[in-house]
Amino acid sequence: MLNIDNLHVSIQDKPLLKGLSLYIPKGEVHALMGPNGAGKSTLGYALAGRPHYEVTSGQASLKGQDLLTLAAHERAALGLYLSFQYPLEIPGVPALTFIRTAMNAQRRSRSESEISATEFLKSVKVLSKSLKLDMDMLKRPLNVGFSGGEKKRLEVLQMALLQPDFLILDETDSGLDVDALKTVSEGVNALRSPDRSLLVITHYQRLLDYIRPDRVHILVDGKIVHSAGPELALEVEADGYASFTPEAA
Amino acid sequence: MSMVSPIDFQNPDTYPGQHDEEWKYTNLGHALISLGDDYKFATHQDITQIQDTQVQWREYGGGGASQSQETIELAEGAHLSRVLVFDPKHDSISLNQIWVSLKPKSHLQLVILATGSQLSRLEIVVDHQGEGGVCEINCAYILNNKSHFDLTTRVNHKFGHGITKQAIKGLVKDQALGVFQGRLIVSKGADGTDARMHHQALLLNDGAKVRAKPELEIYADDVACAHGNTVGTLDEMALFFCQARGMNEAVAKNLLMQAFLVPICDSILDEGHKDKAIQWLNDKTATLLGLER
Repeated sequence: MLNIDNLHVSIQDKPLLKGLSLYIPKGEVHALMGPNGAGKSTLGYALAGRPHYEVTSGQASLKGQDLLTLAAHERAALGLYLSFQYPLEIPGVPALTFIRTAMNAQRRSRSESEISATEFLKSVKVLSKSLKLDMDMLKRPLNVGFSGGEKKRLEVLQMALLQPDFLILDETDSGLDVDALKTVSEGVNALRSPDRSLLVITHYQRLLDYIRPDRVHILVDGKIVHSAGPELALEVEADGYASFTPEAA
Repeated sequence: MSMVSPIDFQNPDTYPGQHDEEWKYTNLGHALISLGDDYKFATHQDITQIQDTQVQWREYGGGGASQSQETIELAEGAHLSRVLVFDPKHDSISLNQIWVSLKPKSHLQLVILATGSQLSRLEIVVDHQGEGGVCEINCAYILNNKSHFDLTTRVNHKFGHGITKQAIKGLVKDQALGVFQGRLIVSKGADGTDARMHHQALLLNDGAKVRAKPELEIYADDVACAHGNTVGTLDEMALFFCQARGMNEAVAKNLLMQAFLVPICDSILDEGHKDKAIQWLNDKTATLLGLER
């Protein structure tokens, strides 16, 4: 599904990823953990094609297709979804308008027909109920005045509507109380399927109690320094990242 | 307030000079001379009296060189909600002046939608001529190529408890120039005045320009007044957010431009006019980005 080989990424000549390699097979959920500044969010942004995140060397492919030569919107149409740590507020654009515009843009990119307003609203109604999102709220400007929990539930709603093949969740747990974390995790778990893979970026074990990973990777200073099964997250929770940092070596 | 003599387009002695503070950024004489001798010239004068509540849609188009002057008188308690569309031919020169008198408790709502031309200027002077009048002037200007649009407003609060709200927003592309000069004057004794004026413009490339000069002159003691001015570019992170969800650059920009401009239409009284105005903005931003409609 996702294959990253020796990826180097810089911003304004400052190297942030320094030879990162990662393979995530179809249907698996992997967690990426690491201390602040290790490059976790940088990986998400670089894969999604954020401007100024310059790939200086290395490769990244999704479903066998080179990601790095594609524009950001083409990566989305190919099936990549990055859930931002802080979903943006866009005053003046109702949430429903934003989501429908995104859905139809992706459909056009894939030469599919656009979704009708009726069909769209029908899907939204069903999903918003299970995510405890008020339909009236979805008519308000995107994320403006939404609580942390509402923003993340709206992210899950978008994932469920856009049906991406590969999801990157960048610190989805930040800003969530226990109940919201549970609702969001249930929403994400409902999207797990043998055809879909996930990369869950997090600082804490807590999220991984709800979204159980198949593999856990530790990112330190722009490189993956250790990978193991889900038990690795528990070790990090108990001992911190000290044993993985260069000073420990 | 009285209507002044129109500028004689065929007599350079009557042209305003750039030493005139209010004509600093708009060189009418230079533009008229560049037309040469062979152009159509039109002057139009009008008086509009409003006694009750009226909704209006007016379009200013055409080519050549033209000027219009209109006096609008709102009687006590009268209400005018007007959409003004300025969409002249790109090589035209268009000078338009509107004087408004607001009798007590009357209410003016102007929503201006403008594309520029070789030179296009709209001057609006509003006099609060009694207590409790409301003046709302909102404008969205969308400029590209080498077009020039100038909105110059002056609102005089001579009586107390009047309200003025101005929201001016612009998108400027290519080598176009947007000019906004706004002055709010609150006379001594006009206590309880609430006057606010904000101008925001987005420059869509390096060569695009905006000259903005919002000013407050306050001689009364007990007033609430504010003015603001921001000129920037489209939010890069918001643009990336839209693109990461699958919108190509033009679709994402169009969505953000709409989000920026459409609130200008909120004050339009007539729902049909409001829908038409939003559609007009949609069409213009899409054209600016080369999107198919």
